[in-house]
Amino acid sequence: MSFKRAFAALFFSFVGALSPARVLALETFQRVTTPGGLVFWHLQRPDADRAVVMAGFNDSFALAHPDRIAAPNVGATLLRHGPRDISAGEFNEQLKDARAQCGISTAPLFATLVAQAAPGDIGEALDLCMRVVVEPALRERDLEHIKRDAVVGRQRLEENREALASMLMRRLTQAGAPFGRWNDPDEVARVSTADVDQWRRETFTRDGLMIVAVGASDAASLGPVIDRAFARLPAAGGARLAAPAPAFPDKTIVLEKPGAQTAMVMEGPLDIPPDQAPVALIGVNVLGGGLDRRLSKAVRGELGATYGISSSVVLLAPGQRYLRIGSALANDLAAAALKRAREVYDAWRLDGVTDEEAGSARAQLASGFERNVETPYGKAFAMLSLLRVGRTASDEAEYVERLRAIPVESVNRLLREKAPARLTTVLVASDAAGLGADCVIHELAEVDNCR
Amino acid sequence: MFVRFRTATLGVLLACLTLGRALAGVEVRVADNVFVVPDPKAKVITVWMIVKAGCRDEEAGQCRGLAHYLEHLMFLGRGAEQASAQSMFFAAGQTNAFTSMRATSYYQSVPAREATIGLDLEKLFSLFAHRLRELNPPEDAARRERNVVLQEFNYRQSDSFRVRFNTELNTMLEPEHPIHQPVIGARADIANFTVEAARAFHERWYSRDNAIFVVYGPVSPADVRPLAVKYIETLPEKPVPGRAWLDALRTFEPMDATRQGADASIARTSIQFEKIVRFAEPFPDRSDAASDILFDYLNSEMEGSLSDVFVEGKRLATGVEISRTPFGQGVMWSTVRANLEEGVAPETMKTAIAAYFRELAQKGVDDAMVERLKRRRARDVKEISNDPRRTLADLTAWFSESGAYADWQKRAEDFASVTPQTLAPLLRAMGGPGRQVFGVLEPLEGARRMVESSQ
Repeated sequence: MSFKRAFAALFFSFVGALSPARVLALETFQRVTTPGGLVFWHLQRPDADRAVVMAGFNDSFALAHPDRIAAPNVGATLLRHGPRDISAGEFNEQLKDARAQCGISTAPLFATLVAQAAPGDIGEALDLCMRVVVEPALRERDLEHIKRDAVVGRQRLEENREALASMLMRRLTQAGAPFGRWNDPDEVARVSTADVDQWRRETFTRDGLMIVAVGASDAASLGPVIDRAFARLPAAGGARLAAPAPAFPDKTIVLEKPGAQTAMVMEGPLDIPPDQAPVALIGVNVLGGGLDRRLSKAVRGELGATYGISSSVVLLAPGQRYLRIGSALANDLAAAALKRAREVYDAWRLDGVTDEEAGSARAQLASGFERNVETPYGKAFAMLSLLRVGRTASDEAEYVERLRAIPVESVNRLLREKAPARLTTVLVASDAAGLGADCVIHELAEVDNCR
Repeated sequence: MFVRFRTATLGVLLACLTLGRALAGVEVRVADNVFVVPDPKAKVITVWMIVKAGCRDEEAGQCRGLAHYLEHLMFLGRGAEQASAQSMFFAAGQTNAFTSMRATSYYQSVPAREATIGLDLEKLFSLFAHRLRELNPPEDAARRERNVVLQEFNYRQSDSFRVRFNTELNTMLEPEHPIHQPVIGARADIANFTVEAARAFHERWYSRDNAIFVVYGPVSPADVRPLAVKYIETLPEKPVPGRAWLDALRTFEPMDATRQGADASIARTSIQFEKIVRFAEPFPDRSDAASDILFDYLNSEMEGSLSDVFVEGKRLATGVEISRTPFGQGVMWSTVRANLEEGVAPETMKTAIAAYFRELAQKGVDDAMVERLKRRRARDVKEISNDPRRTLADLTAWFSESGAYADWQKRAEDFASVTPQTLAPLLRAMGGPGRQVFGVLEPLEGARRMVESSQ
């Protein structure tokens, strides 16, 4: 399981109160109001040699404008070419000189802006970043390059059969949402600089703005910095919409394409309340969180059928989680590996995990989380992910303690009650024979025939 | 002798840079080949073992993938004496390894548990010492692991036309050197791996005299030193075999070849320009630092950089970058990659690249730009030296490229000594004749086509 995925999925409170003394000993973000009335979450680390300000924005543009679903992705890339009155090259070199970074990224329904710099330079770095959002260059030539790169990038992605299988799964299960197609070159080709500008104006606003700051500076000195940076954003933007829930058909789909391996992706919904997410993570870690976990032992260790197989919990949007298993398999062992993976999954779901296994998973997840939040960036990312799904600072601070307290009985109850009985299976294989396909296709677009 | 002190202020730092002294960091050397990077805030203990043997140390100087197969085998055959350590480390921690041309690196991370940290550290040392001493994987597991390696090969490169094209270019450039051979080996090689061959490689190269250990976490040098004595220094001494061919070019007749490749997986025309040059004149001892600064410049967006000239100025490419392959003193192997703008002929780009380096050799790199880049490097070295996590990453990467610790320690002074004049011999070599292959990748609907021409 990738720690970044676990990281994005894990910030939820759950049963188990801690003593006040213990809570005080934890590193906890403080809610601060700036002189200008903006709210931000602040954590001071006096010894930190980097400072981070991270801002999250709700982004429903792709849902609201189905004819321009690629605008957020294209827009984030285009904005990174810098503000209006400076060349992209000099913008990047100035950032390097200041050892500063300015990042803009998008995910389904969410856009993020990150400024990082040495503690004394964070104000300047943040100002530079905000200029990118407020006064972007939006050069036509840069947009043309992005469109060409999208074609190249897509071709390269399709060389990875597991990535191709994932794309197919997204199209199959998210027919009602644009996120499975928003990197398609055809969609990217439709985007204009005017579209990017509209996306920018509708998304980067103070409406629902979430700001997190970690570094050596105290809250009082950061307040005016944040006011200055974010004051230029408009008060309100586009409508906020909810993404339609994905649908996971009980089917096996095979995309036939010649290749040296058979890619396999299996997914199913995890309909659990937010406070159960860490419980699910423990269970899924036992299933496929590393070399010594069940799937790897069976498919790699016993069969020698793969270099790697893993499982994870993926957060698509608030309230929408799914379980994922992915691997690239030897062609001649694909059928046997698929059968074995399903056996392992069923046993895991129905019989549960052992106390020892749960203990190892807890230790690994806790260790991974603690390692990730050692850096200011990691700590800020954790907090922003939490805010995104409506959780609080104490949930973030107490996460590891609560994770370690989850009993194995809770894990096994969740697996029995909530792990999907059947997983949607997508394979990219040279030959569909022997794989039990319900639907065989030869192009991505044909997936509509398989629903 | 390792001199240990700490820079407390920026003023001291600047003084050190001015005087060219080595910049001391957080790492401590506790034995000839054992280093400790203490980090009181760390939540994990990590132990690295870097064996200075990679695929180019394989038999007859040919890279067949045996070193990489051995890396896989090292995780098998968990004997009874290692069982308790293994189950703990694999279950609760993280472990991984990787093989390169020059080294095979292993690491294990476990949560740092206050009550048992000493015991855990000892188990880690015991584990690595055992692996260094012997290799006994079960036969059936070793056979299955061959297939796992084959799957890794398939996953990483089998379906990639681009990877195969890259190998073909390197083969044209240096047909007698293992540099063009993939570390993982070829499909036919993988199928023929034997445990006996892996054991022979282990016997030849895996020894305490050929390995470096780096320990990171909330541990002190005083914690680690006794373990180094008990587990590493008691391993048998074994002289490291000679590597007469190391970094020696096999073929250096001048060449100017072109290779074209077309495939349905290629969406836009791109070029890959490989060139080897040698320095006909004396070059400063600190050539790596000079190369680093030069390539920082070439890859920047500063005036006169590749991007500034080819993307913004001449508009021949949508993106361009240059990289270099380490090859030892007196040799530079560079690779320029560029995605061409619509309608630009590859030959036009080739001519322009040659002209670019000729002109750059004549005018040199501006002093102000060199100083700007040096400031960045100096700041980077300083930050690494003060940050245990970054020190761990930087030091292990350095050792994994067979770098010497003494050279790592003096990085700051090496960068400080670079001037435009230092770069001049390098630029003159890159602007002159050499041994080069110009690769062109083009889109093609349908069948693949490979055309080679040379002059």
